[in-house]
Amino acid sequence: MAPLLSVEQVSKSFAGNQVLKEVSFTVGPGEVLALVGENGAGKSTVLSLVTGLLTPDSGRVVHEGAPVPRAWSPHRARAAGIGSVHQELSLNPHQSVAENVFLGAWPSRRGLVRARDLAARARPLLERVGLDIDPRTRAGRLPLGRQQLVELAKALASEPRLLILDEATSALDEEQVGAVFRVVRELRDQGGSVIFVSHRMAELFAVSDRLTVLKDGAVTATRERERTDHDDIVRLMVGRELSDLFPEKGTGTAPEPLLRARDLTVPGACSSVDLDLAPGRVVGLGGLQGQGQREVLRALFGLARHTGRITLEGRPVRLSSPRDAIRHRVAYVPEDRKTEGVHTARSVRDNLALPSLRTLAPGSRLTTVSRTAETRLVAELTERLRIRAASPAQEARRLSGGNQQKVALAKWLPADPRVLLLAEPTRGIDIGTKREIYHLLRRLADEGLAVLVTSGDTMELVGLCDEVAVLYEGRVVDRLAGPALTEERLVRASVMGTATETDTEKDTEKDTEADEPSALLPQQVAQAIDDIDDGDRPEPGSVAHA
Amino acid sequence: MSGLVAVSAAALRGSRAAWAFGVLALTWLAAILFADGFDSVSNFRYLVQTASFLGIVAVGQTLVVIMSGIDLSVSGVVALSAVVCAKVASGTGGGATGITAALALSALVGAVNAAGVVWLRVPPMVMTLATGTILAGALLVYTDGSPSSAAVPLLDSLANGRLLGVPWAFVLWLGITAVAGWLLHLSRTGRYAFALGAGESAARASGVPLGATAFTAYVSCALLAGVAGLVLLGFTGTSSLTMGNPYQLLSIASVVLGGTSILGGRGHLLGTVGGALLLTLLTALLTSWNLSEGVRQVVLGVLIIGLLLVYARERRT
Repeated sequence: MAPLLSVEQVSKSFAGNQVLKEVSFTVGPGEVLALVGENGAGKSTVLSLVTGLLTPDSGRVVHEGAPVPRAWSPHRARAAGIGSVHQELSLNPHQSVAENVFLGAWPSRRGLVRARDLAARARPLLERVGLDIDPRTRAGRLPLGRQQLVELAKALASEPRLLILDEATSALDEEQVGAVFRVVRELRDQGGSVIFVSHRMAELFAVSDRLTVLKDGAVTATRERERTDHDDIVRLMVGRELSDLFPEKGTGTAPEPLLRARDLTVPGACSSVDLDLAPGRVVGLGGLQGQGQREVLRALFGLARHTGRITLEGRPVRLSSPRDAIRHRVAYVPEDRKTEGVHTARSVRDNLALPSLRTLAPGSRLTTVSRTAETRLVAELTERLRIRAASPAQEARRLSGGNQQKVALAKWLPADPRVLLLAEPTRGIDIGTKREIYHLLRRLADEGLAVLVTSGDTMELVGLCDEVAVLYEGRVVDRLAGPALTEERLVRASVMGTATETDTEKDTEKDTEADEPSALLPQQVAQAIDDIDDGDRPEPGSVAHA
Repeated sequence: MSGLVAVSAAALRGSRAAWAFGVLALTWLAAILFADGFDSVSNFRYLVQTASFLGIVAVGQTLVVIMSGIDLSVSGVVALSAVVCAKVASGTGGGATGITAALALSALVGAVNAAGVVWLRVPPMVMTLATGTILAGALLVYTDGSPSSAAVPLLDSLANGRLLGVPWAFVLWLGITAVAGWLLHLSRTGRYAFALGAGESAARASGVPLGATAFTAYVSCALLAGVAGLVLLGFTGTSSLTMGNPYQLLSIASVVLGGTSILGGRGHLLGTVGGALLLTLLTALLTSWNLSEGVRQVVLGVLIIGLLLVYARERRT
């Protein structure tokens, strides 16, 4: 059968930097193609050529048997039946969910858009993506994951024959990912095609029929799913075996806590959270997405109004602004790195120097910033974290996600922080950089920092942390450490919202297969977990989540 | 040849401030070739002198715009400073008291602007527009609408005198530009201002002192508008309620034509100097063609839009 879409020998350069080299692949009707590669491998660029955001320098994109016209645009692509969902949200937060779903194509009657019509037409689409919400809710009030699903509903509204999911699951919890998979399979069964990009290897193996691997802007291989496995794909992606994704954990007993939080409450987000952060320990905050993890971190960095007692080295502190927190040597790497973590429009140099200006220009605020000291600082940090930038003058928005994240983290290091807070430190980052960040965090902990991490990736929490506190509706429902810290127990506590078993049960539980206890879970969640386990998820410590 | 053009075009795209000077040079050349009187030294001197009034206001405006604010009260402050100084100087006070009072009041207006923006979280456009309106009303009450004159020798020589043939006003403008340029591009405060303009939430999360930076920018801007008002008072010898009006829009236009992003976070102070000179030159050109006031304003507005389209558009993200 003729392919629905074929990309033929396309090349693309930006300012002399070739990002795509004669890339070719095809997607047939009723097929799900996974596009795999590290950050900066060219996945998003090649998809932008398909959706009309960019035009190729050479080569062509053939859609439904005909090359796409020169004046290909996102609008035309949509009209031609290509729907796409990206990691970055494009919802208008002030409009209702229904208005967003039909954005630009509101059904009208004699020129009037009727809210009730709109809501009625949006409802089946929302049900399809597993969203049980009122279509008249303002989109901005939904948590991130649900907004992402609204994006999917929006893409489905134009009834696409080809659906592109570019990191569209990165903000979703496992139940929501299950909903996306249902949509993908439904579309495939109806003869539609899907191109799927994700950094989570298990997801790729769960839904795709074929996997095309990109490395440095060129296709290295295309494999049938049955004839490949995780290790094979990772080898193709990074060109080497990646054995020690996670570093060795800390040893010995927990030292005296550095930061203690008691009864930490952020109205509407979390209540009565107790946390102890000790030097040398990496503590994780787990749970389903949006259970208050983010607000705990924001409170500790003075970005969220909170009540409760916080002590640092035994002394009570007030953290009512980021400046307070920084003064107490608390550093924060936010989830939203493009608006809070780095200044995307500023240079790498400016970004790295910003928190250190006090030392680069000592004395009053009118002091001249020392260029030589700044250059030295930037060179040191770039070297230490191996930040790949064309030059320190390069704008941060031109860096890959992984390198942006390194900048967001590196900028705090000269301030010699005692407590490091990181929200979703590896979201949307390729596996090689993930590994670097895990090892860096452990090294920093070994140097005496107290580290607190939130993550929606259970494997990351299990692999990286010494202890994980599981949040459910803003409360800590379970604390897992040592041998009790397993993916299975973490997922269970996250979805059930209770500490599951007593000490005696723990021992019998330890050797049980991961799939079995899921009978205890609500059926839908079990389904979602099964979906993910399709691709025989490996043990933590090896290379699963790419 | 085309390669050379492409390379120089790329270089120009990199620095929009350079565009301001390029367009300025071309316009000046055209003026010398096609209009009468633009080739004389005295004309040149007069031009840089009048550009200084606008330029001083525009330097202050740049400081505010870089940190993604805007100051729409500058016209009010220009008038405030001139009127207060004239009133005090012609009354009991004398020149020095007048100048001090005028500058102190200007700085106060800047502080009020900053307080509204930082503490009350009023959008800068609304806040400064409101203070500007309040100022205009207060001045009307204060003066009963009648212009007041005063001869302050210091201001007179500052506005009309020359240093080695160069108008003092221009020297003052360059001096102010140098100090503000150092503040904005070399000092820590300047880094904070750029960071704030490039993204407030990232700036906050990096520990940038948002309040202090905003206060510095708004107070400096108002203070410079006050200085411009004093120089204008010296230039004309009289003060009126409406004398600041042209500077509101033109100062913002100078900033933007100078290549600074109106959204903040990007730009260079030197570009503003080019922008102010360019706008003054265009105004003079239009005047030399004996266009009526109305037509002149229409043409100037169209020219500003045209130039913006050529090189100072916001890029899409």
